Amino acid sequence: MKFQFENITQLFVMDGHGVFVWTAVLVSLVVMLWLIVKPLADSRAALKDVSGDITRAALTRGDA
Amino acid sequence: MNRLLNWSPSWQWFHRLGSPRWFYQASGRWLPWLSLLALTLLLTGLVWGLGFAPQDAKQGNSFRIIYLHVPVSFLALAGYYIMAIAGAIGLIWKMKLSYMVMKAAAPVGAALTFLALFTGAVWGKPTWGTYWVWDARVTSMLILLFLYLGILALQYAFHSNEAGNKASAILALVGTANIPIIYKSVDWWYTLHQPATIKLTSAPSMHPDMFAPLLVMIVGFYCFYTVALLLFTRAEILRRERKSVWVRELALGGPAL
Amino acid sequence: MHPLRKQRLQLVILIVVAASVVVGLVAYMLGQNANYFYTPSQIAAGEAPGGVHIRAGGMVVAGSVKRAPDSLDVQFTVTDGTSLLVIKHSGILPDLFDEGEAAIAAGTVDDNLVLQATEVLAKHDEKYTPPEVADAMNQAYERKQKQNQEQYAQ
Repeated sequence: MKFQFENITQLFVMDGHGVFVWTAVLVSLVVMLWLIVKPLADSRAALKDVSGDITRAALTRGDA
Repeated sequence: MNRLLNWSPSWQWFHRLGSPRWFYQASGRWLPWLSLLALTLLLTGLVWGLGFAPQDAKQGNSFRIIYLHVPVSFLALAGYYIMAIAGAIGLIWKMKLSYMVMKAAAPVGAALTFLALFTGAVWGKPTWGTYWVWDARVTSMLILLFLYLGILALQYAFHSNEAGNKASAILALVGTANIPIIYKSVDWWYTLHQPATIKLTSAPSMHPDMFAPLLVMIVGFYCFYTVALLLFTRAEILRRERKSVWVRELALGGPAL
Repeated sequence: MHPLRKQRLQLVILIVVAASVVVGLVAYMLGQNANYFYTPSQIAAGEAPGGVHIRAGGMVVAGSVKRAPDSLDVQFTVTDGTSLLVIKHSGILPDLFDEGEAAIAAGTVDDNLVLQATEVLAKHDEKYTPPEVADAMNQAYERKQKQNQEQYAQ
């Protein structure tokens, strides 16, 4: 197995096909990152909501 | 047969799996390992495929898009079956968790279908000479995206309630008819898209040096899909179970789960 | 299984089967209309409507590509193994367009059964080969052909 390009620049140029290949890679990575970050952010928000509700309920009862 | 299918202790695992709390705790234990595996496989496959696999004799380097296009397309199709099966289990057993998995599968599937179409488009330009064609394969794949978006819209419109869950599950089941059509479209009709390279019934029409990194990417994407599906399901569990004691304890940083 | 669940399972199976049958029937009725292009045989048999924008595809016949020296005009012949179709086009051809490879052209078929194309696309196959392997395969193929010719000459 050997590295197919003479240098890193060639890896990005890919004989003129680099713009297509790297666009595909970049867009895929962004979408995949969203698939991880979105549910994590949703979970955090949901837990924060619940703890907020509990604190508010405690405050109105006046035992906080 | 009927006797076998009757309620018995052997069905307990199935109902335990149906408990959102149990699922949240168990998936929390699986996630670190699965994520690590997915990351390792995807990084290995991507570096191997983009930098070390030989280029194609005819297509040159543009063929390297295959290392994303084929795995995301595989999961876009497989993910639809997962969504439909989850919907079916929800309909039959009225399992809450199953509907949550169905809902979670929709955004993941939609994102992967979009990626399949997008990577296909940027591959089409340098090879076919166009970004988009209305051939049977590309069009049936676009219908898959609309099916996923339809499920998302139903869940949103009905606020994921019982009626919304049922409607979504039925739409998901009806849409399964599209999957074999996508798969066989390149054989049934004259399409611009080429027939399948990887088939269950025969050796891949691809040099082993090119196929090895593709296989790594496919396995990597299966792991990634599982991670994304689990994360979306967990978010949905927290949202729907927010009134339950264990979620309230979790929110207050209570007993570690 | 609980009778109620069994009933629901049957309903689910019914939905899937019914949907598959309906979608399958629609796909079957679409039949030829769902084809992205016509083959040279279909055009020779007069199956493709004349004067209407259609697509035709086939293998580009080796040695058939003629380019005009002073313009982008190009003419080539495609075949599906039985019939031939002459395609005329004015414009840039895709990188993968080559003799012995498949191509699809969009345009109208004139009275002489020549496709006046407004767009030419290259169709590639499902095989992927490294350049060195492809070269080795071509060389082996040429050697074999040469051997056959020599045998034939003797």
